[in-house]
Amino acid sequence: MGVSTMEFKDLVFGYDQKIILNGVSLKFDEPGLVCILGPNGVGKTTLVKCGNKLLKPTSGDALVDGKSVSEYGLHELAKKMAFVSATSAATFSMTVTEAILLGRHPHAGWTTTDEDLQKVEDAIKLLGLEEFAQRDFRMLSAGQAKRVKIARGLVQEPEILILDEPTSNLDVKYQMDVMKFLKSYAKTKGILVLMVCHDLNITAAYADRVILMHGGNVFSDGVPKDVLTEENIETVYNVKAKVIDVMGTPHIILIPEYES
Amino acid sequence: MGSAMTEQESGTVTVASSYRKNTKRKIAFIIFCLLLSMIAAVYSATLGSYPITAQEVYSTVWNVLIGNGDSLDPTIRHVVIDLRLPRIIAGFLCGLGLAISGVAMQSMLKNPLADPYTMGISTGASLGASLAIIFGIELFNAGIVANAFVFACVPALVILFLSKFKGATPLVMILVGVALNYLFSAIVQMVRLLADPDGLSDLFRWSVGNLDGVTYEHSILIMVFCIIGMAYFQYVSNQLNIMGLGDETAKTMGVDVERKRLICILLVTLVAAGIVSFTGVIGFIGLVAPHIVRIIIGSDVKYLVPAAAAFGALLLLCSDIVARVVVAPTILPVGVVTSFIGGPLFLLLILHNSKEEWA
Repeated sequence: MGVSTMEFKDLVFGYDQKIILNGVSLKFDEPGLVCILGPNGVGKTTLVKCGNKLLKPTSGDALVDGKSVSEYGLHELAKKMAFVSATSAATFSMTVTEAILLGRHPHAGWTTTDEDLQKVEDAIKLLGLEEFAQRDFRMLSAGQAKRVKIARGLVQEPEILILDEPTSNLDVKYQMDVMKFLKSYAKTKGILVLMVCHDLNITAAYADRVILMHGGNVFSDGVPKDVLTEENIETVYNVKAKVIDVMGTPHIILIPEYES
Repeated sequence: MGSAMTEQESGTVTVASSYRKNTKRKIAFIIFCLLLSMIAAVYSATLGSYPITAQEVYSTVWNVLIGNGDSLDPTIRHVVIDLRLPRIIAGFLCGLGLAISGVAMQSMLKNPLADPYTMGISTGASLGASLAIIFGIELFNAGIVANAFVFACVPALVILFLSKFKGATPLVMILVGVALNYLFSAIVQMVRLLADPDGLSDLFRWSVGNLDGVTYEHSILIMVFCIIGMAYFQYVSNQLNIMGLGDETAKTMGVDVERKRLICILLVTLVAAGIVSFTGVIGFIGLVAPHIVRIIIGSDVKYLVPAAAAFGALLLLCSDIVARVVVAPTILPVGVVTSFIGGPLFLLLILHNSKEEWA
């Protein structure tokens, strides 16, 4: 796996005369864990979906390795980029092994090779899914299913891994485990891991770079301590917060407002 | 994340060995169904008012195949080759074709209730046949079969039109099929009101499904449709598996969802319309055979297509045997018997496996 670059150039997306993304420009040319933050409806998921060809921008472009994603075939793009969606459930029963094996599709032929199965086994071990390997994917808890979907993304062997809220529905321990894993995976494989996230503290603790969105555009972009400031949080989320330093990492304490 | 699980590594079977073991189990099931189908086919050929042994059936078929047909007893040869075998071959192919159509429909539309009947193919064929039988309206002057085939294709054409210009989702496609089903059924009922007793009798025979009039020539055509359909569904089996995860996920895994779905709809129509045009409406197999097989071997379409094909063929052959013996010498419509056999079997499996399969 090499280092693939990704770029959004003046990206505009809207429907029914409503603008969701309003000229977003971003460049990702270094490996690492990048988190996109922002309030609900600000366009975080829309942005990543424009990046993987699920949505067609109104204007502007999304580029992978300098080439517009619109010029990639779906199969070709799937070899470079994997997407772990916030929602997706199997219609019919399939084992966890079978569910993860589907991720090999962009690389595999019609038959299942030992190499494919080895990669599935590696992903199962990495994400601690051994005891569920033969269980029905649909019978897993939300947290276990998330890990299966991440494992499926990994066996796709992408150069860019995009995840939409991978830590939602997970308890705090698993949230931390998943973030730690993604950060370490980005570093060891030298790939870009781009994720949409809601938890400010988890992001502050693990992200290499944070993109804070507001009003359909990038409000702030940089390392966590520069982006997750009290002023930025108040402007973007309209809540008061206290940011303290915990072992070199910003820690955000939200200040509740009570009616007088 | 991985440290907790490494403790469990020792003593556990590897993913690869477990997957291969499951694969062998699936292949064994397919072979088992095929063997049972062969046994059912031979048994079926021995049944009837003229007694023939299994040995005589084998010997007759073998000698005809190697060109030694002239040396056979002409009566046995006539009964086996001209009367019983066309029906058996038709039963095998129709069961196979309806079952693979069901697998493809359910997988590509992500809906357990999808089958050729849900999509309006069978009722379309009924309408075409009704118009030909009652009013003598025959498109291209090509008879009931051609009429049934053309009308069976109408729902697919409507769905293709909607997909092209409106981007129809799987749910919309099913709802369109259901709407057309009701519309066609209503027209068929109106046509029945205007029918004379002879026409009504012919129409009834056609609408309950039977294998009586299917000839070798018809079977060859059905076989060609089935081979094309089965080869394609097998070829795109991985994509059909992925489509079961949702359209967005499938696209990000490299599947051209819309294109695959349209091709599958066309081929399902070809296979199912090809069958029901000759046999009339044989319901149930397309819906239920895939589900029964899923309970036994799982939902991997790569193995589900051949397994459902073999099981569907077996189910229809067994239904035909029952149809011929239960009130002999009267032959029941096979479409009625498939529901009588498949229904309780399906209910039994649902009650036994409801938590796993229909979560």
